[in-house]
Amino acid sequence: MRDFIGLTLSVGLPWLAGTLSVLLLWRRNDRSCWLLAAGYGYPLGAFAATLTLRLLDAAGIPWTLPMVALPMLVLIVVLLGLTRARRGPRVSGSRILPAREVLLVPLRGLSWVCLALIAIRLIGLAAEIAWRPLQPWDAWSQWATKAKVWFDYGRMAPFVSQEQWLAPGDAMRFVDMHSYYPATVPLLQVWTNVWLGRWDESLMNAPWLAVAVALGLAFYAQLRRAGADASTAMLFTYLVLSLPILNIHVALAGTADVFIATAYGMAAMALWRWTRTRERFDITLVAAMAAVLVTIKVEGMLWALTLVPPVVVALNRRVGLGLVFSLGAAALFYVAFGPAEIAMFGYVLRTGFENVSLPLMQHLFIMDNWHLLWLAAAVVVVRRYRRLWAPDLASMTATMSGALGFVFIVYFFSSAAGGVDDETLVNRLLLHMVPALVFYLALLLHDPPRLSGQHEGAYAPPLQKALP
Amino acid sequence: MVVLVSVHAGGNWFGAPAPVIVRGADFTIVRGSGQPIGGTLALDSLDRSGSAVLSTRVPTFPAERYPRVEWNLHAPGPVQPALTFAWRNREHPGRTYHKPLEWVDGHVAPLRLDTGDGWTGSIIGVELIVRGEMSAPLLLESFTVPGVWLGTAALDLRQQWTTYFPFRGNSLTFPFDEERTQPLSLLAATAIAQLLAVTGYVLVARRSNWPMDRRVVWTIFIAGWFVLDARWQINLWRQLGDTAGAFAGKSNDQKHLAAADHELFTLMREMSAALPPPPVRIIFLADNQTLRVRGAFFLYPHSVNAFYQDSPRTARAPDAHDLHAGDYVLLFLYSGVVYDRARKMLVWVDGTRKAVDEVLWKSDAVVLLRLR
Repeated sequence: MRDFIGLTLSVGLPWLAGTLSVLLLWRRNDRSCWLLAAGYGYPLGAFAATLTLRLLDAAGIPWTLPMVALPMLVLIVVLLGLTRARRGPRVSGSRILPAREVLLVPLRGLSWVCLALIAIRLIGLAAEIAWRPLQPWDAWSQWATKAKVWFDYGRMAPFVSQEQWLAPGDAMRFVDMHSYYPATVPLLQVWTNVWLGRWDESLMNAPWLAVAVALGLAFYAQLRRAGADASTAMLFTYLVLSLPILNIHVALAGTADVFIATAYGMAAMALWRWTRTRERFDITLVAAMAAVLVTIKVEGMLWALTLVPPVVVALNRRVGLGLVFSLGAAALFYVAFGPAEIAMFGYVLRTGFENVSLPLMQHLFIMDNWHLLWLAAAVVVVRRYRRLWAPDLASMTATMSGALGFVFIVYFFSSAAGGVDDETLVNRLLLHMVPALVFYLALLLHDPPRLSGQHEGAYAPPLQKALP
Repeated sequence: MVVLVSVHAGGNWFGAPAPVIVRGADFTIVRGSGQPIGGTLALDSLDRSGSAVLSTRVPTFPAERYPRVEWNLHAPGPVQPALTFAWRNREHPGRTYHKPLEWVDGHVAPLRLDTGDGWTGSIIGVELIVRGEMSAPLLLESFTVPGVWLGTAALDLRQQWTTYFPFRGNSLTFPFDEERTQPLSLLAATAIAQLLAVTGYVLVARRSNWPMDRRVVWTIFIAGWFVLDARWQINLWRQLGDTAGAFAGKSNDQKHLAAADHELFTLMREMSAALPPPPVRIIFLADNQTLRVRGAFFLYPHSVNAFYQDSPRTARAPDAHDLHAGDYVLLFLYSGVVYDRARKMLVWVDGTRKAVDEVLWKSDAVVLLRLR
C-alpha cells in the first residue's frame, strides 16, 4: 500500500503541477483544454521534479522525502491559486472552427474500440514495468547507473570522464558508459525512488508509462484542436500508441528515447498549431517542450534545431522555404566539397556515403516494428504530394523534412552508420520523430481548407474528412 | 497465400518425400580441429586462415523436391562465427554452390533454397564453412533436409506468422529478429493483401461505374493494422505471463536471482560483501564487455570503472600507472593482466608488476584484489 501511495504521488504531483501550469498559460476554460493540459502537463511536471532535485542539490540540501515533496506541494498550491484567479469564462470549445458532428455510426463504434485497445495496451505495459527488472543495455550502462549512485548518496555525485577517473583522487567520482549524458532521466528515477523510500529497479520506471499516457492525451487533444472529430482523433491516437517499437520502449523502460519522442512530438504539434493561430500559448508550449528536449539526451538539441526552419516558414513562407532548401544545398555542398570528417554534437559527420539501406528496409517494411506506418506514410505522401507545401502545411512539412534530413544524415553520412548497420540504432532515431509524423499524416490526409472569407491565421482546418 | 504455400511445398502437393537427416558426428572436419562427442560434432577451433570446413556425403536426393535445409547447431558464447552452407550435385560434381546462413537468437535460421541459388539436380554432398571468431566450440548436432508438402508448408507459414517474440536483451533494437529470415513476413503479407484488395476494389468499382468510396480503402487499411496489432497484443500478453511468472511479487534481489544472469548477480553480491562500505574505487577487468558492464552495474554505488576498454572484444590491459594504491581490481575472465597468487603480484605482459592484497579469490579467473 505504501508503494502504491508513493508511486501515485511521485507521478501524480508533478503531473498535477504541470497540468496547472498549462492551464495557467491557457486562459480559456473548455473541455478539451483539460486533455491538452494533462497531456503536456506530465512532461513539464516531471521536468519540474528534476529541477527540484537539481536545486536542492545545488543548495546542499539532501534529497529526503519532506525536502523533495515540499517544493512540489508549494508549487501546486501557488499554481492552483493563480489558475483559479486567472481563469477566463467558460467557452464551448477551443476549436476556432468547431468540428461538425458528422460521425458515422460505425466510426463512433471504432472510436470506442480504439479507446479500449489503448487501455488494454497501457494496462499490460504498466504490469510489465511493475514486474520487470531493468533490462535494456543502455538502461544499466548509462542511465540507471547515475540514478543508483545519486539515490544512494542523496545528491548528484559527479560522473567524470575516463581520464579524470583514472587520475588519483577520491572515490566520490564516478564513471559509466556515457558519463556526460544529461541528468534528467536518471533524476526522474531518483525522484520515484525517493517517494518509494527505497531503490526499486522496476517501480522507478513508472514515468515511462506516464509519459506514454501523456503522449496519448496530448496527441488526441491536439488533433481535436486541429478540428478532427473524436473518432478520427481517437483512431490516430491508437495508431501511435499501438506501434510496437514505442510499446517496447515503454515496457523495457529505462532508456530516454520515449521521452524524446514525446517531447519532440508535443513540440511539433504545438508548433504547427502556432503557425496557424499565432497564439502565445502555443509558442510557449513549443519553447517549454524544446527546453525539455535538450535536457533529455544529446540528440535532443538536434531535434530542437529542426523546429527552427518551420518557425521561419511560418513567419515568412518564402524566406523559410528558402532556408529549408539552402540547408539542403549546404548539406549537398558539404558532401561534395567538405572535409572527410567533422565532429558535431557527439557524431562524426562524414562525406563518404555509408549504404545502410538493407537493414533500414528490413526494419521498416519487413519486420513488424512499426506495423504499417512507413508504408502508409509513403502512400499518403505520394497521394497528397500537392498538399505538402500548401500554406497550411508548409511549416509542418518543413519540420518533417528537417527530421527526415537529420535521420538521413545520421544514418548515411555519420559515425552512427555502424550502429544502423549492426541494427542497434536503426529504430531509435525513427522513434523520436514518429509521433510528430503520425500527426503530420493526419493533417495531410484532410481535404484542403477553404480559406475564402477567413483570415488564414485564424483558421484551424477541420479533419473530419480525413476519415469517411 | 495459396501461391506462397505452393511455392514452399517444393512441388509436393499431397505427400512429402522422406527427410534426409545426417548426424553431426557423421561430418568430417576437412579444415579446423575438433572431435565427435556422442552424435554431436564439436568444432573446437579454426585453422590458421581463420576458417573451418565440415563435410559429408548425403544419400542422393532431388533438390527441387526439398526447398529447405536446417542446421541444428549452437555456438555458446558472445561471439558467433559466420556460416556458409555449401553443396554439390551429381550433374556438376566439380562445382560447389553456396549460400550464407543467418544466426537468429543463438540458432541458425532454416535456409530456403531455389534454382536461383544453384539448388538443382541431385544433391550428393554438403559442407558447412565456418569463418571469423569462435569464443567456444561450435556444436553441430544434425543437418536435416525436411520433406515438405502443401500441408506442412501451410503449417510452417502459420507457425511463422504466429511466432512468439519474447523480450530479449536486444528487443529494444530488433524485437522481430526472426522475421528477417521468414520467406514472407506477416507485415509484408498484410501489405500485399491490402494492395490486392484495394486494386480489386478499384477495378470492380470502375467496371461497375460505382463511385469511389474512401471508406472501403480505410476499412482495408484499418483491418490490416488490426491484424498486425492483434498478433502484437497477443505477444505482449504471452510476454506478460512469462514476466509475471518470473518476477511478480519479488524484491529487487529476488528478481535478479530469477533473471538469466543470476549467477553474475550472485557473484557480484559476494564481491560487494567482501568490499568495505561504498564508495571504493574498483577497476573491473574482463575481456567480455557485456560481463564487465553488467557486473559493474551490480557493484554501484561503489565507484566502479568497467569502461576502461572501449571495445567489446579487446583485452587491452590498463596502464600500470593508472592503478593507484588503495584501488580495487576485479579480474574476471581477463587475459590482459595476470595475477601471480604466490607472490601476490599483478603482472603485465611487459613484465611490469604491482603488489596487491588478495581480497576474494573465487578461482584463477575471478579474483578481487587491492593495490598496495
